[in-house]
Amino acid sequence: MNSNKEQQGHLKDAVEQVEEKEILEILYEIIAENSREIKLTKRSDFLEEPASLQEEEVEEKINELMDVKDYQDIIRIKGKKDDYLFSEEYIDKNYGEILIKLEDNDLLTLMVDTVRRESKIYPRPTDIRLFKKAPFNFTADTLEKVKGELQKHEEFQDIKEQKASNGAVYLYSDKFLQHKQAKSLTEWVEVLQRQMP
Amino acid sequence: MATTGWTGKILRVNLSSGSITTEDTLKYKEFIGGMGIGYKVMWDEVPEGTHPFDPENKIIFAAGPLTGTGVPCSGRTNITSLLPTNPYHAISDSHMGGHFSVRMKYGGWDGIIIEGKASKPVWLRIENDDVTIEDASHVWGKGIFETNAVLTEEMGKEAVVAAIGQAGENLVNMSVIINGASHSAGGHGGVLGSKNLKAIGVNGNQSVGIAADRKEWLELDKYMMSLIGANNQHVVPNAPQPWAEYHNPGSRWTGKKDLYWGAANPPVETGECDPKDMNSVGLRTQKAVFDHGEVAEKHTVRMGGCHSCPVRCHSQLHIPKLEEYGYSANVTNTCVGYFSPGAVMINGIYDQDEDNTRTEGAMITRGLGAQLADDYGMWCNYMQLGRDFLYAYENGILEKVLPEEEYNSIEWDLLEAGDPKFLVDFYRRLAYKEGELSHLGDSAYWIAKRWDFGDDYWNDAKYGLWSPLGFPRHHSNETAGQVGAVISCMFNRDAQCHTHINFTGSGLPIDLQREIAGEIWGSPEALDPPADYTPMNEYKAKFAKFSIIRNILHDSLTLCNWMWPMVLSPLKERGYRGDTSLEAKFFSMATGYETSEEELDLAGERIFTLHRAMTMKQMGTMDMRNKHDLMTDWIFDADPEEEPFTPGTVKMDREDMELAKTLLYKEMGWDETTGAPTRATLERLGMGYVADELEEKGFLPG
Ligand code: SF4
Repeated sequence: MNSNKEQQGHLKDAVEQVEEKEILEILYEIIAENSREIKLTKRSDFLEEPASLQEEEVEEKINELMDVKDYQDIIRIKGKKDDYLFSEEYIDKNYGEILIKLEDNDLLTLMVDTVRRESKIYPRPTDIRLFKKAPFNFTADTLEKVKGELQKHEEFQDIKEQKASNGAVYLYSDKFLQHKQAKSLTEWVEVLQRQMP
Repeated sequence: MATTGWTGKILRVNLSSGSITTEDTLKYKEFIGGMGIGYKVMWDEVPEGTHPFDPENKIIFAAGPLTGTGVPCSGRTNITSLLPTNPYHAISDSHMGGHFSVRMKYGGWDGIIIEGKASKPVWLRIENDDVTIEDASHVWGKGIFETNAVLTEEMGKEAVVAAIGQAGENLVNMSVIINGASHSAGGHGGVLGSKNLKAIGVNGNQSVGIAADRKEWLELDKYMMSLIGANNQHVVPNAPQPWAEYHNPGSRWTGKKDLYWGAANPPVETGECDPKDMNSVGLRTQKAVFDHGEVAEKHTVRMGGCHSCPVRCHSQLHIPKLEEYGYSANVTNTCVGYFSPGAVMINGIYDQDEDNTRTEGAMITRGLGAQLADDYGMWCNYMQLGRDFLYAYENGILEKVLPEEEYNSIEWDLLEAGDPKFLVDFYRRLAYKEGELSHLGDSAYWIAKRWDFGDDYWNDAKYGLWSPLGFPRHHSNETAGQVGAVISCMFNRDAQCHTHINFTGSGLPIDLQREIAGEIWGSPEALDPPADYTPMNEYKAKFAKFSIIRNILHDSLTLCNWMWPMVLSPLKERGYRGDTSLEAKFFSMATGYETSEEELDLAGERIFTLHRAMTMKQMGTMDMRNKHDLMTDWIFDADPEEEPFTPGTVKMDREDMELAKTLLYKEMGWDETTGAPTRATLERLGMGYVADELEEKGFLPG
């Protein structure tokens, strides 16, 4: 038969486990709720209500959360300003990465990474008008400014500009697309494809 | 025993004698339906040397066993006859969507064979078994819209009418047959005109049976719906979406947050169209915006389309400014139906600056032109009409060939100002065969001959001619290199094949496409990256064969090849794989004839090979390699600075394209020297009788 002390000990463990579970559930709910609304959750959000974690326990709790079998849809990505979390149920990883760079206001990296990704995987040059559309939503001024910034950085010199015969401007990365291919694909996407629908 | 899938009956109407008879569909079972029935009837009954407008020519409207069953995207009608635009008047098919074939099947008919020639204008009225040849004098001379309205009024609102306009009546080579307001089959309108047959109206209140257990059928249908994408089976959205791993600006999956059918009352938001949400499949393709740009959003009433199609690719627009030209503010069409009239405006459109072709003026021009072309029943030879006009115009040919009075009567100032009003006069002249200019309606091959076009017409990419037989590129070398190129050589008009472009245009990354290509066609080498081609190989030949065979099957079953086959899906959890066995599964369940994917593909091969044999008879040759499977020079001579197979050029190499033909012939079991089907292949396909006839004529390879 268990002693009273032992019984109290088990009870305490059980209460802690419930509390532990509850806090992880709360964290998950915060992330899921935000993700449903296509919003990111920041690590720093957990210091606020309803999670109200202490700074020193945030890391541990996030790690525990990421280990829960039922919460494998959660993705955590380190941004420049914060750590971001979202549920892949609602936000694809690629889209989440775009949102993170927007949140970090790291528009130059956003443009470079977008162009490189498109040149690499599809492959295709990127119509700069893409950045004026959701979720990027650059203003015309911002677009010009960010594009202008490209030239000032040695590490972004692979990003090149290509114009279609109708004047539309595209960007590509010459790490992944040769100039002639980029030229031909720009003309195809912008002009020729519309003549052969 | 009652048939399922098929209704079991084909109607035969002889307009010369007035005889109306019935035939058993199942005698054509090996040819599936639609196009297959059309080719078999033509092979059996129409001798070579027949002119398309001779009473001896026949025209067959046919559906396949899946039409009317509710299989997604199964509302297509296949029309087969001799093709006036082809230099040999070789066999061809045209297709229309809409509701015609479904209503035909509800009336109890799998197809309608029209033969002979009526002594005066008539229309054919089909209401279940009640079939009559009616006087058409009250609609002869009228446009298609009015004809369809009048005859539908006479038959009742459930009826569907397919009609020709003035172009078809006047035997314009480039004319169409249309049902509904925009479901257009290009090329055979003049054949109906030559028979004095203005229209066919169909109605019926029967149903199309299916052999399978209803529950199993619904399960398969649900599964199919989980794999379906947007129009052209594009499986990624057009712009970044929260749910999407990929996006592609060429995708027709335009639906997204804050995008509307803006002229609906109240406006309808397409929303994000998550692929798992079956209820938003019909909102994925906001085709007006895809075709015309953002300017069309506020004019979009809704998307329309064919029977049993959840995708809806015809945009229905309300553009009040069209009334200023004396035409309806309401217009519906899709794709080339809109683009072709825009291309006739060879000096551009009034509000179009250099980098913007998606202006309000462009939309108005297309809307006006689409109404004119569809009402008169003019075809465009896949946009070639505008390029033929351009060549004649910019080379000063019109000034030479048109009588001065006629030349001066044309409103060139409107053309030069980019005023769409020009189209009103232009289409009328062509449809009524008014003057010399109207010969543009003869189509590329004939007009080039008549007006003595130079070699540059054929050999400059700008004019887009694919074949010396007078048809243009249509998803040709720019689509998967040799795959699109060799497909484009196989038919008697533009190939109208979308299997390969649906795959390459899906929007998925190239490595993933190549991985899937490897699973289906044997190696990732079946597909090159865009504009970075490698020499021909056997896997590309397999890809080309698959593309053709499935296209043929779709036109026989009858399914929409702008959607089918389901090679891919929008589902990340399936690795974006679709299911290529769906056609065979639906066929088996509809007809009760258990048929594997391979067996059904074999039927496609049979139908395609019969097309080949018939073309050989009509051309009087078995040397298809050198007489039929041809390409114009620009395909090889474009980008003179570049060598083929260097990144950035899509030019082809002459020797390599000969190899491409050889490898496709090999896949098809055709003679590798001539490209003619061999006896062994014809017998393997159950067509020993075709081999016998070809042998008799000296067209069977030794
Ligand atoms: S995708 Fe378009 S053409 Fe094909 S069945 Fe649907 S509405 Fe008709």
